Amino acid sequence: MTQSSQITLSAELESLPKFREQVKSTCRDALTGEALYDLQLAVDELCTNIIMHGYKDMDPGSVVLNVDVEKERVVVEITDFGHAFEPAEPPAPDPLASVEEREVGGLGLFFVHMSVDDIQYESAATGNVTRIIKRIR
Amino acid sequence: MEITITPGKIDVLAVSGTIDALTAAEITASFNKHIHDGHPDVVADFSNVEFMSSAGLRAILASVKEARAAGGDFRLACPQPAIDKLLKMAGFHNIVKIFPTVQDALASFGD
Amino acid sequence: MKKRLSIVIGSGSILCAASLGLMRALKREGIQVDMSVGCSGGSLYAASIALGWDTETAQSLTVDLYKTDIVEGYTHNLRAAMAGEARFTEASGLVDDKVMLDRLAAAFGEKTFDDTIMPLYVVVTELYSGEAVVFSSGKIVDVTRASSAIPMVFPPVKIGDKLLVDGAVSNPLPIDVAIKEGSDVILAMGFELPTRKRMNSYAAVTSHFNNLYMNNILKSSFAFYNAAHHAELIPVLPAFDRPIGGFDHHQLPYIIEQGERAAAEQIPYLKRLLAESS
Repeated sequence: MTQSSQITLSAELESLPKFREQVKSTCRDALTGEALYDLQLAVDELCTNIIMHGYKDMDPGSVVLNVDVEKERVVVEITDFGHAFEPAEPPAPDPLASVEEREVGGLGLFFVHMSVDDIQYESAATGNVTRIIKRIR
Repeated sequence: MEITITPGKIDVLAVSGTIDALTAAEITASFNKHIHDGHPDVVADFSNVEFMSSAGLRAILASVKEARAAGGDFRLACPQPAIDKLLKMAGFHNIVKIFPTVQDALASFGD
Repeated sequence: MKKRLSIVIGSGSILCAASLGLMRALKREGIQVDMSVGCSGGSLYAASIALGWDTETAQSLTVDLYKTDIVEGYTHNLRAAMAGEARFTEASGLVDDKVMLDRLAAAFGEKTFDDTIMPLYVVVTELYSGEAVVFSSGKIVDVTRASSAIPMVFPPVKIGDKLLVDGAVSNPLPIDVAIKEGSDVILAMGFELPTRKRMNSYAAVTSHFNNLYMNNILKSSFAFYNAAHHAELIPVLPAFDRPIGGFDHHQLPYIIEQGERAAAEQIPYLKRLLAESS
């Protein structure tokens, strides 16, 4: 059985619970327990990154979440229209900030990598798309 | 997200709901206020935390350091399995005392 | 409120004797230690500190440990194991541990963690999972022997239902234990293992890579512990300007002297920290 959904929300932290809820309601027949948690975590961390860094010094924009439940996997696409994320050139961390004060970064992305099976990223004139894939076991 | 305080010899701060980038700062502020109100020893009951992201780990670490700097300790009780997995992945079991029940966490202060 | 001072002594086989120099420097200044944590070779000295031994006793009881007979048979057994002539499993070691056990027994006898005058923690690694196991009870001989079980050189040790090896495999400088168990100021003596510029044998290359792994674990875990600690973490890193073999016991006076020198550099800062009330 396949199911899919799309929501567009403004790029603000208040949207985070709604993105997680969207993942849950779309995937409820495909993923449960830990696998569902993993996917919600990955979506939360990626959206947090976009909200906190993607629209820096720009008018706050929106984030589009697409969730597609396929036969053997769930594909989630997160699209934003902010700055392109350059994995090779991450923003310089503030060495004077303590670890707790530093913004989402290394640890969050580490969790994303640990939680899903694949991550792809592309940046185009039409927006930045992060695609994550979680296999259904 | 809500924090309920159960006073005792050691106060138990029960967190319920979600700890994400939206709520983490509020948690740190509440815990730190409590610590500086003369309660450097604290047990955080995580049994009703449904979701936590890396922002929650930063909140925990901030409160742990605050409590220790005040001469006490911040100990964690009953995180759910998915959250315990994050705590393990980030190495938090090495630096924070984490217990399966609130009772165990409270008893550990008697040592 | 008095600040709690902990000492952590990391792995580094014979180099760990540098902690005797650290003890000497602290004694001279009348600085009291409140907790002792050790790993691998460092566990022997952590135990000596926790038992309240003076540095002379600790030194005389451990110098014998690093004589070459402790690894007798290593080369011969390595050849046999590599050639498949000798059976080798995860429970094996290339060296018979009788000499080591005799020496540890001569040092620690029947002493247990209950005989210490301050909390003592020794880090060991569970062989199958690779997880660190922290001991705070038991016979000191058994636990230090397990913590010093260099993989494949010495056989692992069974304590309870766990098969245990060298603490360095999981946590070469276990500062986290001092943090978790309650410390303010932490003195951490760690050792970078020697690396090589030229390697002429399989064994030399293996040892070079092992030491690179170990040094990198040491650095990354230190960075994490430093960020996680609420108070001062003072690294004491003795520098050695000459190559020191794993069982080069003639170098002991030099090693201890370098330990004392590295400690002396930190003493003024340490005294200032301890004088401040927290």
